Amino acid sequence: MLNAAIVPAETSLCGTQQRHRLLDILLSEIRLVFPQISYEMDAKSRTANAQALARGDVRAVRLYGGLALHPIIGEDALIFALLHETGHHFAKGRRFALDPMLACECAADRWALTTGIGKWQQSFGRCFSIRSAVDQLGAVITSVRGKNLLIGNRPKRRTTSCWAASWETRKTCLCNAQYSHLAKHCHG
Amino acid sequence: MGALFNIGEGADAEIKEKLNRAFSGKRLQKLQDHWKNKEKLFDAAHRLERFCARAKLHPTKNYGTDNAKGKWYYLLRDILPQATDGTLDPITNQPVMTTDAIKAALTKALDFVKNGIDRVVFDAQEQSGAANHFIFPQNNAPGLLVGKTLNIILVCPAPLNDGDVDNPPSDKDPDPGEKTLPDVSSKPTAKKRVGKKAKAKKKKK
Repeated sequence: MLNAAIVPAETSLCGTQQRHRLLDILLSEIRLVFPQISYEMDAKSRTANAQALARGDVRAVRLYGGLALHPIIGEDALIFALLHETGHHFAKGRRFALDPMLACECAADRWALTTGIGKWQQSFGRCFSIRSAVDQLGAVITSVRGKNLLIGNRPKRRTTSCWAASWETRKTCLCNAQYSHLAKHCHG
Repeated sequence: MGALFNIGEGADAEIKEKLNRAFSGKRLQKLQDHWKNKEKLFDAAHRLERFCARAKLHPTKNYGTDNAKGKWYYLLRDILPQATDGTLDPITNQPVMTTDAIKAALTKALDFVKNGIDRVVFDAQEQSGAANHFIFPQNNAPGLLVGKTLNIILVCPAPLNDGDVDNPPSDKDPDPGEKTLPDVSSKPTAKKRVGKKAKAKKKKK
């Protein structure tokens, strides 16, 4: 995370007991569903994102405070974020940025909304709405708009045909269950 | 970097992909040969920023107003040489700087005869509690070896500031003993697609 989107200082992060309890519950549930993954929370960070990474044999998912404690973010977005990052570790197919340990964005999304949510619901019966998750995440993206959204989102020349490369197409595909097509690789 | 959305991280993915490509497969073999026969690329006299500039290992895509290339060179030139996690070099008993930790890990990767490494995977993670940038797990033992793959993770206390940018060292400012580097940054050329008609013609022949 060298170039990350930071929640502006004027936005107060949600440090309520209720939010921390929700995070504790979600993290404890997902740790039981996917015990192979080390789930970590960096509450002091204002980065509005989450991350999957492999530290040698240890597979980790990190949730940053700018996303986890953002006032717009709710349960559905947190579930999706955790499952998407877990999907980077478990999804099969194309790899992310030539890293053999992490699956591409589209593969991680598809895994999250099929295998991932299926296993979580089977274990804990948790309700989940992708539409609500996408709305919450979209609102966060809008709130950190500015230089951050110019991002690899809209390069001068499109270099990839992956539907997960731009938030607009990704949102549509996720909400309409059009995630069966996987790109050759996400960051070409 | 496997992030939830690529706001801000497009450049991270680009640089990660370039580094991963350069340090795997035939490109890594070329670098290992270069290191063995021509130039010790990561010795004390060599600079990481000069290596990246020579090998074209930096962001080149358009990220709007975000000067990702400038920030990358600011990290290499201005942050990493002064950063340390406080762990000591067992020989000198001095703190290991993060630049030197990266050089040590990359030298390990290039010494194929001794270490047999055939791939390096780069990553970066934010850790708000960290005092400085360092290489996971610690600077005096940088990188994690899994089989023949070396995993190099840069731990960052915070994302880079927008205003902190620097330029790559130019060709007028070389490192001592530079030899022409093998091409490790260009993408593999796409194979020419052969249509059905051409295939049938070839079969007939």
